[in-house]
Amino acid sequence: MHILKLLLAAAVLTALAGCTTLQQVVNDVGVANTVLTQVKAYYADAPKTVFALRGGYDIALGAAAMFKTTVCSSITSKPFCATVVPELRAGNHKALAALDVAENYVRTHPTLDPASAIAAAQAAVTAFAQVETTNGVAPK
Amino acid sequence: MNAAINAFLASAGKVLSAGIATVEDAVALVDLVKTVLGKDQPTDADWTSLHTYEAKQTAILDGKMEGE
Repeated sequence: MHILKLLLAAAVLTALAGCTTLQQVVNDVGVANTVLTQVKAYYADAPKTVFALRGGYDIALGAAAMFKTTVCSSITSKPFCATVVPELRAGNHKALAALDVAENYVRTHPTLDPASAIAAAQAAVTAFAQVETTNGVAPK
Repeated sequence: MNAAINAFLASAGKVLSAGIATVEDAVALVDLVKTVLGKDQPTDADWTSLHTYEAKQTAILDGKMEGE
């Protein structure tokens, strides 16, 4: 069943091949988060799960940093960015804090159930990706 | 290589092709995750690599914009 879901996610990604607009890319980041959820189920290993989640988040973070560097350098984007960038900053710090908690948990308590720490980290990562998806379009 | 890793690489490839992340950073990130998923456990150095990347991107995001 997991393999089926993975193949479906891969098919979605393939269907989106060739997209170059920022909105489409941030949507792909959301899809990547879904894929990484399946990685978690597939490997059923806490440290690998958190590592994959963190690695996936880093792609989303890289997208946000590049968004700020490129889109926000335009004079017409400044009012838009003045709203969006603080949201991205706050979401990033929350996500990193939650990822730190999850990482520390799985590294120091390898025999305990990490489900709640991982769930909190995943929620923070998802919230960050949602900010990107909601605000990913270029200003009109 | 299993479907999960293939899917992850396909996703990361989208980021690369769209040019929203520097190629060398994203390639290194993809390679790192792929490597870690294929071995027993992430090492301290593996974790540190992610932290280093995050610090770099966070510094960019947190840098003041004109008018701030």
